[in-house]
Amino acid sequence: MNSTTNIRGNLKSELAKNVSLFSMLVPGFILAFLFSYLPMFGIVIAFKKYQIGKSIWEMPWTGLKNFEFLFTSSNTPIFIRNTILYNLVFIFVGLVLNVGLAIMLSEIREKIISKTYQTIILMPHFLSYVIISYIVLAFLNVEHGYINTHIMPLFGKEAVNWYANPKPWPFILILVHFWKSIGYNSIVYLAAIAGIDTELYEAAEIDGANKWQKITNITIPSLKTLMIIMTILAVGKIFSADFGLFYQTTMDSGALYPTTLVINTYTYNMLGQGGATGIGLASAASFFQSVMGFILVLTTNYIVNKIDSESAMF
Amino acid sequence: MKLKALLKNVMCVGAVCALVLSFTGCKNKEAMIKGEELGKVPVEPYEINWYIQSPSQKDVSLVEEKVNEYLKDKINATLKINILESSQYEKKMGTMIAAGEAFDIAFTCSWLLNYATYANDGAFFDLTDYTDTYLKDAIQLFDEDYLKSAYIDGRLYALPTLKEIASQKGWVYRKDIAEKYNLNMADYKNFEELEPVLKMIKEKEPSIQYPIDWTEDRTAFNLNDFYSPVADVAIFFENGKARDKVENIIESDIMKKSAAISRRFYLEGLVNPDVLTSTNITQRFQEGKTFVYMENLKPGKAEETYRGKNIPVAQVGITPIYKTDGLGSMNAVSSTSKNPYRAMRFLNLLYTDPVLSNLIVYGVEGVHYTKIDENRVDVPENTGYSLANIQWMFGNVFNNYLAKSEDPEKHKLLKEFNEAAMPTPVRDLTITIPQSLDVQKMAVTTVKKQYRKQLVLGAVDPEQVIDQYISELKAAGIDELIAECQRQYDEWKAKQ
Repeated sequence: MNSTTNIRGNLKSELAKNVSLFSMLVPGFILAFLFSYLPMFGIVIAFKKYQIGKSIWEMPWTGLKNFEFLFTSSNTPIFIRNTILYNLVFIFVGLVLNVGLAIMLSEIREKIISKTYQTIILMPHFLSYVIISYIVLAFLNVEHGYINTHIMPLFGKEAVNWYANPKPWPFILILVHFWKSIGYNSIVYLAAIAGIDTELYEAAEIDGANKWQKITNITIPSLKTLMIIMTILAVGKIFSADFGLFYQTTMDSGALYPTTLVINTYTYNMLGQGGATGIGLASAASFFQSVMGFILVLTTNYIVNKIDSESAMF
Repeated sequence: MKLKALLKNVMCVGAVCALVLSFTGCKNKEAMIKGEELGKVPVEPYEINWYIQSPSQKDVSLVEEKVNEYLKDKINATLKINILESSQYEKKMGTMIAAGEAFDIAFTCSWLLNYATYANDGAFFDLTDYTDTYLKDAIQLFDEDYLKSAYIDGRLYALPTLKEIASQKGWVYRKDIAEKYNLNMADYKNFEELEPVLKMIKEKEPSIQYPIDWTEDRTAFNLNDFYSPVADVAIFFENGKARDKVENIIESDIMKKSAAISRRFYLEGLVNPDVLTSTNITQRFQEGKTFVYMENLKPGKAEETYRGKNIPVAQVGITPIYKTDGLGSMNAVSSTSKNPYRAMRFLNLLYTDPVLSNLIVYGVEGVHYTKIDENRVDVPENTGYSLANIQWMFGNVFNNYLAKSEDPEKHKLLKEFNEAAMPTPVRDLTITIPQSLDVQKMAVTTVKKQYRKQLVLGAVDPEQVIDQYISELKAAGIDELIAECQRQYDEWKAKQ
């Protein structure tokens, strides 16, 4: 069967039918084109010796020299480890928390109460990380921070210089991340739950199912596809980290790098302070990031295709 | 399936379009202007974008308006003063330069937006050939050695500020408290000798939260004089002589001792434990929370810093006065400037024209300051505009008015201070790190950023950190850098 002509024919009639719907895609396409496709060419900088004020063509090639530095730097294993571990926690703990929260909210019968909860939980999402970093500082300031002045004495402990002590930061950052993102990320699941056919629940009720059984046998299976898609999307981004979280919240304190340096902050540091050499290195790091991300998206999609081809993206 | 195939097609088309577009986007920039006729007011107006670092000023646009009126008949330029907070300056400018963004003039020096690095990278316009044309009047004002220090391999990429050309370290302290306890601060030659005094003040003066204050470059370590060609590498000076070896700063006896002092002060509560996240020591001093801090001094430094603030302050120098190079404060024309000639003409005026200079430093007369007499002005507190505290960052400070609180003899004292200074033991030695060691330089800088600050500030236990710090420096290749510096240092010594 000739599938291409088939698609073309279908596409035309589809387009004609849903002009208004397709036109809504246009801004998204333009943005993706401008900010995701157009800059792709810039990756050649990773293989060049960057020179300020020259066009990309005029800069000499250096082969893999930038990558050589990247992979011999003692920081590289640290930021790779941090980026991946943080993201794994964010993805899998996040999945449980987001779905859990969505189910809890949907189980609240009283509309007003459920909306109030949702709004309160969603609120931090609208704060910029710059502001959040100062909220965190209010807690962690050595001298006047709430933790050092109120919490530590409760346990009879000495005040801690939080910004010089990398050990507790994984917990702090994970806490801050979920506090900020959980409300927003659960909206998707909440919407999906609202879309589940109520007849299923009614039938289950007639069969004598209790609340827990309804959740495990109806809600969660109905959310399965969405959960898989959301996870694939997240795994594809496992090699990029939320810059604001890692840069602002830590106040870019060098002492914390062992547990807080991630690929994005590393790249930014190289860009801002390394002069022309730094740009080459930053480009190499972000090229590496893109390639890994690309491989990860393809792999996860391949795996999903094997398990459940309906849920795969392409 | 349909949607997936469609998606694939769209992605391919997108990628191809992007490639084509980005190729066409890479064509050459527009042709540069060749030059301007001197002594003539150009016909075409030009906006000069100038970047400096300072706390932000409310009335910048008002001042710009006046400056523009003034410049119209001189060089037909308008000035845009872009003020960046000091904490952002390095990264913002670094990113702008790297991206090749157009601007005209920027503040640069050895300690912020590193002059040598960016000049070598080609970020700055080469001024060498214009010193007897566009910059002629300004150049004539310079001390020859001072100007020479700004040359890199015989080329000049920025103009140093005309100010004191010497430096001495010493204490800035609360005059009233020192008098109350009958302290002669000149007697305390280092942090250890000062320690008993600090303890006494902490005990007896409840309003002083922390007797001493410091930032990364004002700790016990920085009281030592040295020449540092690259991060964490230095030639130390002792009793007016330079040590023979180029040293790894962190391995040196000096760092070990200083870090121990810092740590002790930190644990004893003599210094704010919050030093890592809050660095505004002048703010704390003027709020009366601290008693003393170490500072690079020149005559009138304390008064300049706290002008208009109601705090009794005094200063005293405790180290030898060394001549400094011009690298402490300079202004460079960007290589991305669309009209570097007009920018140079502006710089030339800035160094030679007191009206322009005072307008930029003090703002508009009657609004931001009032005149007392010919050379002195009264600047009220909290005006909408005053760059008086950072006037040493540009132009010619000898052209500027003096504030009411300042010694009327300040300019004379500055000149005497300059004359009293002796050259450093390595006077004209400039070690340049060759490009083949770029990677090591970068790696060492990164390690420094991770460890140095909390070590010198006393926020971590040196016993626990210093060994790891050293081993990471070695892994980053600091020994190769030291070897190269030593080679150049030996060559220089042989020539003496």
